[in-house]
Amino acid sequence: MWLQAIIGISVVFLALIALSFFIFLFGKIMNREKKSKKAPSIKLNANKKITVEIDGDDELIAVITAAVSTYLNSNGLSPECKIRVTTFNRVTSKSSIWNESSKQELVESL
Amino acid sequence: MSEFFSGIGQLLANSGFANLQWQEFLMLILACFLLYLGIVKKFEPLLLVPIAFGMLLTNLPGGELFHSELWQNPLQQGMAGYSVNWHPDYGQVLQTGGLLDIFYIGIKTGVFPPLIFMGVGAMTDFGPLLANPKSFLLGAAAQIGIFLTFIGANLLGFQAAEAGAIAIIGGADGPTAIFTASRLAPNLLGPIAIAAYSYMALVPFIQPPIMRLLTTKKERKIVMKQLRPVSKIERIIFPIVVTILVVMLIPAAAPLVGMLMLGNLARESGVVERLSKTIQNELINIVTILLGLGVGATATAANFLNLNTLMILGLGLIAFAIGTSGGVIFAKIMNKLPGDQINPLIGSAGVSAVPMAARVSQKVGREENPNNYLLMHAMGPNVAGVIGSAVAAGILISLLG
Repeated sequence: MWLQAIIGISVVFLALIALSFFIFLFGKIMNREKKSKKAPSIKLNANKKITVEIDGDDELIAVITAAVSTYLNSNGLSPECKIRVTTFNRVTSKSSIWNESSKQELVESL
Repeated sequence: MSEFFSGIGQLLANSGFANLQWQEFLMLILACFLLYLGIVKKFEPLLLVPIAFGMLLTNLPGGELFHSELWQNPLQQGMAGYSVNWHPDYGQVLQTGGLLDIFYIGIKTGVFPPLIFMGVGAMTDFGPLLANPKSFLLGAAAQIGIFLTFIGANLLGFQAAEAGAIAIIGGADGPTAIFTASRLAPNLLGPIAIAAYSYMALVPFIQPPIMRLLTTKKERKIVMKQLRPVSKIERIIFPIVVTILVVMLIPAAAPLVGMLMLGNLARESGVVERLSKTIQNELINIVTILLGLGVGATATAANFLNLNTLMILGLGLIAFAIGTSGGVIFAKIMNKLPGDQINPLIGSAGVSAVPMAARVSQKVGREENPNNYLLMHAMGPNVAGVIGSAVAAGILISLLG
């Protein structure tokens, strides 16, 4: 009985560790393929041409950079402004209580 | 005139009122109570309502909808001519069986639970698990409740096969519990299924105290790194790889894991949308009705009103609590190793019960830090738990069947 229980839990772990290992490796290979593709270079036609070089992990960075540049230019803040977005992270939410509660409602309705 | 009265008298003598035993009466009250829990308290109503109604029908005297004698070996263990390999006579079932006997064929032959699993697969998004493969370990750790309860049930005097069927309640997965019980201990199917579904519904009450007890305030506040997006190719390859790996390792898990992954492949491949829709709607609904009624039918007074049922309910609860603790404690151990920090609250979601257990993790986490969204992180161990309990079921069936 003890033996059966020990065999049982060991095989469960063995099977799921094997799966976990495989998925981990596969995820790595997929990500490397994605990264090895040439980083996108986006040209914008604002008042001035802005070239954004990105070697980050995907196009989202490019889009954010372009949006920020366009915004700065269109507000005449600093046409010469050169920015470079290297990473983007979620910050602790500072949204209003209404936003938070609607987000929570959405999660709970799942 | 006297003929009229004797006719009426005969009808009354044949009616259920004249033939009702007190045990059956008690079962009718119990069935009504379960209906109340399903309808008013919303305890897994999709399954509890058909199960409770099956229970009601099977205990009404004279209805002859279910005949437990057709499904039980007439010879007891130790009697002359007793064989372990006894099988019900399906010809006899088709000829003399009632409506619920016919539905029960689908459970006895192990057809319905895998079909339900196919629907579950088609409804499940394995993305959070693919994004964080470590979740698999939490899904495995939560299965420890099954194996510890197996030992406990053995010590309480249940036979090994029965102990295995009872222990699987700790997997918190209805179809898996029904499948395992129908294979290992069909005589205990009613109480096991009712315990499994009731405890799944009670997840929001059973788990939080255990989770709070085992974690510190600081641990509950841990905010986890955002999950990476998962590509379509990964999603498509996943069900194929799981099927090959798991079925090669534990062939007895093939019906459950195979159907779960077929359902998921139909969802993720994107080329069989019509099949996917049918699997996750019409098919699973039809099978749920038949499965629920068939399971409820086995809960006859003779099968249900005994000490074993109470012990099963108790052991099931213990299995569930140990599984929850196993997941939380394992997450704490993983935090001691190098790598990204894990909020131990997601460990408890390793006991399947999708998506309720993940929502509990989210809720308890939010109590400490209102800006912490653990739901998607908890979905990883949660869906890993479904695979884990199917694997555990396969192991129990091949070791004890």
